[in-house]
Amino acid sequence: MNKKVMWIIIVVLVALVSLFMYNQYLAPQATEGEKAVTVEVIAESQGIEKIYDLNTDAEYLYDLLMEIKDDVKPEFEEASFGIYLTGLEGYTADEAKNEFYAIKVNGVDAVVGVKELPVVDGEVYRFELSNW
Amino acid sequence: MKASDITLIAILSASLTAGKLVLSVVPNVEVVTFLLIVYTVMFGIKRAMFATFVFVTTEVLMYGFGTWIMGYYVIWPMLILLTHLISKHTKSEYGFAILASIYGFSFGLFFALFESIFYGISYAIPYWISGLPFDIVHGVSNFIIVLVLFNPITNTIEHLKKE
Repeated sequence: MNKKVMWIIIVVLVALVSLFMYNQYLAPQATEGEKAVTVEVIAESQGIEKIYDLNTDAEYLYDLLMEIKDDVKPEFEEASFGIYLTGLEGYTADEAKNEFYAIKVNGVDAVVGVKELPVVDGEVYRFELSNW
Repeated sequence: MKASDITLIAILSASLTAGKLVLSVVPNVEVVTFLLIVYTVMFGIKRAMFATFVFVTTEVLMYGFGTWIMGYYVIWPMLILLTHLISKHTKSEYGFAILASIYGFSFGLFFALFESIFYGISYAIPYWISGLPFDIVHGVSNFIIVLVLFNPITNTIEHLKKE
């Protein structure tokens, strides 16, 4: 068993080092500074269509939403994999109706959540109430 | 196929689904890889293969059909095949633990390549990179699970078979 414990410790250590390296070199890096971006919130069924042209220093989309939270009223839910967006502009996506807010960056579906999406100058972030 | 085989396959596939559901709250820590390795070693490639197809089809019934499910129909049978090949040369838990961890590490890469068939390679690269931390967790947890549980479980099954 001792040999096994040793191997487990080695593997865990290697994993921790790789996770550290990942965060250091591979994770999406945000750039700081003045960025001009557009945030669109669309919930057709609720008659919501808001467009915000913003100048921001926010690093990630989550920070940007928090900067304008009085306007867009974001709601989030905790999940094992992090947080996800459930509501905007006072309307909460209804899971029973298979609704969710799709996030699109320049028209392309985002592959990560709001906390991992870096805010980049000139990009358009669209939150669209969709069905899955 | 004998009636006892059909019953066995039903139990094996049910345990795969149950094992998957129980650990689904912990991202990328799973026992499916471990169980498939054990089943292949203990019950043979044919029964393990049948159990996998039942298991993946149950996934379709539970989560609906997505492109990822086609990946499941490839990746799990592939694991059984590899386990079968390795078990011809070694029965050591270290061999299987290494197989399981390589499997975990390359899970994201496999799906990135597989999904790129549908969405293009420009989708695959960010998909793979953003999933790397999860692949690391997957590989490490697979290694530990197989290393620690392989002998106790195979011994128990061996014991039950004799009874």
